[in-house]
Amino acid sequence: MSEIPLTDEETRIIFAGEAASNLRSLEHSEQEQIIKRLCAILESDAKPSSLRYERIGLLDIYAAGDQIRLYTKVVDEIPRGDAEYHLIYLFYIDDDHEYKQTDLATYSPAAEAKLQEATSLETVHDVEAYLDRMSAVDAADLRDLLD
Amino acid sequence: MSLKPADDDTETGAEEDDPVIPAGVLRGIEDIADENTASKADLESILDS
Repeated sequence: MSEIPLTDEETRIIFAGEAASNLRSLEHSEQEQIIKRLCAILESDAKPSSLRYERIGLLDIYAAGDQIRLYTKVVDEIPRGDAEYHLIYLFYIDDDHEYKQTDLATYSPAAEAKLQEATSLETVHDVEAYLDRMSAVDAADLRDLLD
Repeated sequence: MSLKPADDDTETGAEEDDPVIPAGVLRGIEDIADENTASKADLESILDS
């Protein structure tokens, strides 16, 4: 059995517009299931990367129930050397796996390059300014959504 | 695309081939790059609708 690394850092999540659009299209019960799953990840003492369901390329996939998959990229421990935060980018919410071929794409290094900003932030102040600019939400925000 | 759960942290082969993924993932990445993100207020609006 593998060990689960524990963490003192806070985890924040950034919802891409696409993920928000996906969320809007779901039933209320599915929306709640997703927010609950994300809330559990953000409130966990374990590093978010240790809670993923699987990895596809450089993407981190979380499961919410049997059907729903959350396509994310987890950035552990930023800023480097003085870690205060973990960050999850939520790109896409998949509520079934029956894709048409035209709905599929290839994940490339070019896509990964678009996500380098967070890892290049050098100070806690820089990270917090970035999280603010990107409207990152924390566990308390998600908990509020469920109330 | 494999949907088998990962049972360890192994990343062997992760960069060997570019994996096939839902096109929505790339749209989401573009959104992040363009700073098109959803705030708490946006999410509240979605859950209330």
